[in-house]
This record gives sequence, structure tokens and C-alpha cells, in this order.
Amino acid sequence: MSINQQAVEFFIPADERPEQILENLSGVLNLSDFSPQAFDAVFSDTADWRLYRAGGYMVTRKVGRKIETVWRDRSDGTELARWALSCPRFVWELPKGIGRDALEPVVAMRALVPMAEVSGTAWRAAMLNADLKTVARLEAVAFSDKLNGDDVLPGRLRLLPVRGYDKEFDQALAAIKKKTGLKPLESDPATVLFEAVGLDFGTDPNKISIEFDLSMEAGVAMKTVLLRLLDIIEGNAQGIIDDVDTEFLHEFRVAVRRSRSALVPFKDCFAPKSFKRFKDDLAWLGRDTGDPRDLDVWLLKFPDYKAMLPDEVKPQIDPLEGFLKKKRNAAYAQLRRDLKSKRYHEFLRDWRAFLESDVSSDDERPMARKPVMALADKWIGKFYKLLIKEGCAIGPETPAEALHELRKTCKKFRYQIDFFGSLYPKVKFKTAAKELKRLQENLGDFQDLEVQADSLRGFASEMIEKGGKEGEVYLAMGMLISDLLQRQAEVRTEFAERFDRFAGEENRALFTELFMARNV
Amino acid sequence: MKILATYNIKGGVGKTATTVNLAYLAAQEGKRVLVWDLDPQGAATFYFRVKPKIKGGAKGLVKGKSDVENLLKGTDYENLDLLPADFSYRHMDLHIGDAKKPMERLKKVLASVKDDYDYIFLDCPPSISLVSENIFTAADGLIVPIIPTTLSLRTLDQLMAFRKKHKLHKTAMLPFFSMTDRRRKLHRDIMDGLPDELDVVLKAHIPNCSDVELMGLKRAPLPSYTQKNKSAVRAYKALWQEIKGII
Repeated sequence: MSINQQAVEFFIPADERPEQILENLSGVLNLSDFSPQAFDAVFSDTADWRLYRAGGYMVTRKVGRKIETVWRDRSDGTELARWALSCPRFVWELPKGIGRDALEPVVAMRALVPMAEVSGTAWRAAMLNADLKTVARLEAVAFSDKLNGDDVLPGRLRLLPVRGYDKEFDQALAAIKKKTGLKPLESDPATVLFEAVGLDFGTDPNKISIEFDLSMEAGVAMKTVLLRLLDIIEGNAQGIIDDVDTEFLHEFRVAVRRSRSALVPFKDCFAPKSFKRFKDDLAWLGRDTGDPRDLDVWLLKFPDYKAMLPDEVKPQIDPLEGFLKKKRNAAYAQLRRDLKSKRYHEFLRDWRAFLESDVSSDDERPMARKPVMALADKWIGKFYKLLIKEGCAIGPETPAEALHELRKTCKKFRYQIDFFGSLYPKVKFKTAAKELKRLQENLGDFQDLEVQADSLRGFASEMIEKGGKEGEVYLAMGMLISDLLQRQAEVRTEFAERFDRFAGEENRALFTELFMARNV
Repeated sequence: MKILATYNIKGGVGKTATTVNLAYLAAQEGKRVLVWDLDPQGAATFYFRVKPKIKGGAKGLVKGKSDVENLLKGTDYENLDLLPADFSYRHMDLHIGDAKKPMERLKKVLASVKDDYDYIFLDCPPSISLVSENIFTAADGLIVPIIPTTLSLRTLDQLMAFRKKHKLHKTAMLPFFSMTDRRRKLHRDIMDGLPDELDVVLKAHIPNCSDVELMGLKRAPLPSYTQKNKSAVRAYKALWQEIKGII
């Protein structure tokens, strides 16, 4: 819950001077003295607009030597948090407190980056009561930045509330309306600015979100999906090279993996020989991004791993973090070289050309001309049946490999659902996807915990090889391995329940109705 | 959220100045801070230029009839709010005594707003009463200004004994020397020769100086109108740093 009242902003027409408006208002409101102060304001968000999409915006203002960063609700200007510092890159760089606690789940591990900047002059005045207590704040602003051509953003008058002085705020609002006739901002200041500077803003650049139409040809649909995935791959590469945050690599990698999965139905539409090379290139990118991503995950989860250890052992694990950081930097350096390589750029160029071109009729298969629905039903149905078959064959004694295989099948099934989701009724689709997600989480945890325990063994050998002398770290790592394996055993016992729910009567009927009714 | 209560059985020891200045410093760091002026004299409320009046008075608050959120006032400083004093607070003891679970009443009053703040400062009235016992239960830290005199040390002794008797071990004791004057031999002797059992006294101390006295005239926290390098400002900053390190 927020503790502040909303702020109100007005446009000041180009032919009016902002300070003159304050001057005029001081005739009807008891305003403190005000003088012009230059300011710079930087609006920050994550690369995928998490703040904006969650209904907020963050602005850092520098006035003289004073810097403050304020996070506001876009709908009514309510202040959600305020810090007397410039916008940090990561949320964990902020001082601990309720503001940081509230921001953490919104931006998570993503870096906050500058999206738009404005500068200008501000005149700030306090509205005072008889005790000379501030009961509201007024701020007139003139912007100096040139936008497109000679246009400058129109000036603003802001009325900011002080808690517990609602009556005075209303008086000020009434006075502004009566005395100035200014028009309120139609949308929030962030949206106004982003639109004015011509930003493509507010949507998740990594979302596939393709709305297929039922009659679309399968070949065209597959190319559309793969082109969108290629955009995502390209869109994230620079963020990896600049090492902005770990999500660029994650999104890049997911798009590569999805592209590889999309090639499965794709080969029903086009002869594999025509895109064999791209398949190899995508596999290469998949392999190349594996190590750096694993190390990112290790470092992101490091505090959790540390928390699993008894207090007296916690500090002993620290050398592992240093080791992982070094290893990650080396892995990123290699990846950066690959992303600047000729092979990568030729892949981008040729893959795009292939997807955008008309494929010759020799390469085209009959499925390419059929409605996309037929292709979707076929592959979703196929993976679903495989998933049920593999899952049903797993009992308490089945070796772990079978669960790993099932995890892969789940993922492939999931990707088909993601590609073709828009073809099916939304509500039923969501219900069906929910149980799948629970099952995937269980299988994911099961494999991750094993991989992590294995990696820890590998890291320990590497550290010893490199002459690591801190004996205690290996003891702590051993404890961690034992914890991870114990947790893995627990996860395994949860599998049966999750799979039974996924494969249960009700869900089965739903999946059949959604994806397979036409096949039966 | 941490609750810090500024308390001394004696009046005139720099209690309110401490509350107001520490709360201001915390808010300047970007923390969300609330000051509850529990003293019916309303000195903290006066410093913040707010009217010492709350709807429903002490009774409404203690009985849970008043909506605390609607009683809060924003001060002239960002991130810093005030729950003002009211003259009816002089009867707060009676209302607390009448209520169910009297020892937890004040904590309950703050329950609806506690998630909105990083720190809640309680500026407590002098004396030992049900109100102060409530404060000891609610607070994470008890900031106790003491003037370096023999009598003040006895007061601190009594407070420590009270804490022990009532098993209030979770409440950190944060006594510090206030209104110190190193030109005076008595002050020097007491500050330099503290007995071992009183080694809980913080290192930071606040000098007696005209800058602090001016707060009443300026009706504002000291660091808001004085240069940063003034000794009193530096002293409050040091005190705040030390307290933060403990709680």
C-alpha cells in the first residue's frame, strides 16, 4: 500500500513563462520564495521495460548538487519510493529498506538503464500555512532539450501533495484551475516524454506474441515464428557484448533453443537440406552460450547456496565465488568473440535472407501450403503423446536419465504450445499450461540439482589444479553437494504427484479437446 | 521496520532534539521515517510546525477506533512523516490500563502503518508509567540521552535494572551523553571514568551548544539549517551511525 496522495501535472503552453505562472499563483496562494534552478532528469527502466509494464516509472533528478531518484505510479503519480542517490544499475545496490523490498520483485536481476533524458530549469515553491509549514509543493518547469527539429517539450506545472493536508491540496488545485486555465497532462510524464522522443517503449521485446490467423499457411507461419525469434536473438546480442545484465544472454539462449525446436515442425514444410547449415549454426550458438549461462546462474544463486550452509561455514565458501567470477569473465570473453565473429554475422544475414525469401517449390513440402492449425495439432499432439508415454514409464526406481529425457520432451512440447498458442481458446489453454508448468518446475529442479552437484565436484578439481590452498572451501563445497543431492531426492518424491496431476483425467480431456480432437 | 524510542525518566535532557534530528538524518538517507510524538507537551510536533491535535485523541488511538493512516502528517522533509502529539495523551495511561493486553497497546496502534516505514521514532514523555512500559515492549532500541551528572547515571542504573527485571533483553539499550560540556570537570570525570557496568554508553555524544537550542526558534531539525561541518551536526551524524550499527 502506498502512503502518498497523487500528484497532478499541467502543460504550460509555449507562449507562457513558467515562473510567471508561479508569480501569478502567489497572489492567491501563500508561496515561499522561488528561484530558477537548472536540472537534469533521467528516466530509467530495464531493457524489457519491467517498471513501465508494472505501471510505474523511475526518474533521477539532479538539481544543483542534489540528486534524487523517485519511483512513481504511472496511473496517478503516487510516489512509491525515493532515494537520495542516482539510479543504481542493480536493485541490490540500493540501501536496504522498504523501497528496495518493493522494487526487487519488479526488476529482479535486470539492470536499470537510462531510457530518456531531459534537462531544463525548475522553479520550486512551497505552499505554506499560517505556521509557515509546507502543506503542498509547486514546481514550474521549462525544458531546454530540442526534440525533433526545433520543438521543445512543453513546460509543466506540478502540484505535489504533503500527507495529511488534503484540504490545502484541493485549495491549490482549485486555484491553479481558476487562475491559470492550464490543461492537465493527458498521460503520465514518462509516457509523454517517451512518445516525444520517439521511443519504442513499454512492451517486452522478448515476447514472441504472434497472433496467427487460422487460415494462415503453415510454411508462412513457421517463417514468421523463426523471424521473430531471430529478431530476439539479434536484439539481445549487444547486451551480452556490453555485459549489461544476465538476462540478455538468457533471452538470447532461449530464443536459440526455441528456434531449434521450431525447426522440428519447420522440416515438415521445407526440405531439411535447404536449412541444414542454419541448424548447425543454431546448435553452435546453443553450445557456446551454455557455459556462460550456467556460470551466470551459479553467481545469481550464490547467496542462496551460501544461505544453505551453517553460519560458521558460510564465510568458508567465499573463495568459490571469486573462482566462479573469474571463470564467468573468461566464458563471456569467448562468447563476445563469437558474437563478433564472421560466422555469427553470416548466420544472421543468411538466415534472415532465407526466412524472408520465397523458398523454391523444389524445397517446399505439401504441408507448407496447409493451414497452420494442421501443423500445430500434429506436433502438439505428437509431443503430448510422447510426454505421457515417457512419464507413465517412470517409477520410483527408474534411473535419473529417464526423468532428464522427459524434461527435454516437456520443453519441446512447451515450445510448440508457445508458438501456436494463439490458435487455441485462451482460457482453456491457460488451465492446460498451468499443470505443465508445475511438472516442468519439478523436472527442472531435479536435473538442476544434479547438474549443480556435479559442477561443484568439477569446480573443486579445477580449483585444486589451479593451486587453490583454502582447504576449508572444499569442506563447505562438500556440505553443499550433500545438501543439493538430498534436496534432489526430495524433488524426486514429488514427481509422481506432479505427473499424476498433469496426466490426470481432467487435464487429459482438456488436452485432447484442445489439440487432438481433429486428429481422432 | 525498526522502532526506536527516545526516553528518559527526566525531562530537559535533549530527548526531543535527538528524536527530531535522528529521524531527519534517517529520512535524508532515503529511509521512510515516522515520528510519533507521544509527549502531550508536543515539542517534536512544534519543531515540525504541525498542529498538536489528533482526531479522536488518545482514547481513539488506544482503543483502535481511529484510523492511524488518516492522522499522519507529512513534514517539510521528504520521507519523514509525523503522528502528532495531542493534549489528551496525558491520559494515555488510563486508556491503556483499560484496554485488553495493556502491554501491547502501542505496538498495536502502529500495526497498520508499520509496513510503510523503515524506522518509527517514538518521542516519549518523561516518567515511568504504563506508556513507558509499553514503549519498552514495542521498541527495538531505547535511545536514552543522559547528562553526565551523578544523578543521571543513577537514572540509567535504574533503567537497566528495570529492563533486567522485566526481561526486556530484545530491546537494545542505547544510552549516550547529551548536552555535554567538556569545559566542566564533572562532565569530563563522568564521561572518562564510567564504571564497567555502564559500558553500554555509546561513544558518540552531543555537545551542549547554541545551535541545538536554536531548533526551537527555527522550528526545524538542526541539520536542515546548519552547515554540515558544525560540531553538533557531526555529533548527531556520529550518533546515528553508531545506533544503526547496533540495531
